Amino acid sequence: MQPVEENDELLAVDLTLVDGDAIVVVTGELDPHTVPRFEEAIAEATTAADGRVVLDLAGVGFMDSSGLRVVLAAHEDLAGRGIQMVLRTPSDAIRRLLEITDLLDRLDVE
Amino acid sequence: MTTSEITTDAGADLGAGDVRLEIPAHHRNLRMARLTAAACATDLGFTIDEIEELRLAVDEACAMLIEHAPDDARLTLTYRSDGSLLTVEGHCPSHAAHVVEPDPVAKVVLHTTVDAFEVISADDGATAFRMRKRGAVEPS
Repeated sequence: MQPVEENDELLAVDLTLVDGDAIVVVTGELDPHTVPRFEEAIAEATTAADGRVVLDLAGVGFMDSSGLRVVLAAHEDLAGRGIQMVLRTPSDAIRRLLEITDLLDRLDVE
Repeated sequence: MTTSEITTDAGADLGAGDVRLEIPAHHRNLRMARLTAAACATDLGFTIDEIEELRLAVDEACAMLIEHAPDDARLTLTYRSDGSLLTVEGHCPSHAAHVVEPDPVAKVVLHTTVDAFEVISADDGATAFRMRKRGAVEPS
């Protein structure tokens, strides 16, 4: 599968299918400027997935509440469809954001 | 979190170590506000966690101002240092008819990441914010 969006200076999003899981590898920073691309990628992953939707956030150096809102909306939407969403290898900064907002235990983090 | 109707002093003279950044009020420029915050905090000897918290707080506060800014508005940010205390002020024209507030998630973030945060209705019709964060270690 081709990347959903090629890299620009702030965010790259790449979607692949592995054993039915849709893996979205995100690299860059997530803020109100870049979040629409992130949202598009999650929507495409949702359509493509036979299994889980996995958001690989190891390459995300920054995420603010706009990114968090997209993650939360996707989590609720996918849960309603019976699809599991996983946050994979979030950076310390993202883990801290999840702790601050008391969401670390609500989301599936691996 | 408080709101008040005092005049922001974003236009006041700068101290020797203070920094002012003026950027178009567009979300694509949030990164510049974050980078400047991180640079100022690094100069004051903030820890990595403190720097990350300040970066996040400045981003949330600036995003709030930009959300209500006219298309051609410019956002002015002033970073003032006093020992281990960093004060960040933001000032931007606004078309909001009321005092703006961060959304609930951003409000939680701001409460948690900085020592003080307030939104100000400036007397020139703009909206402004002021935040303060003190580093755990005094700069050498």
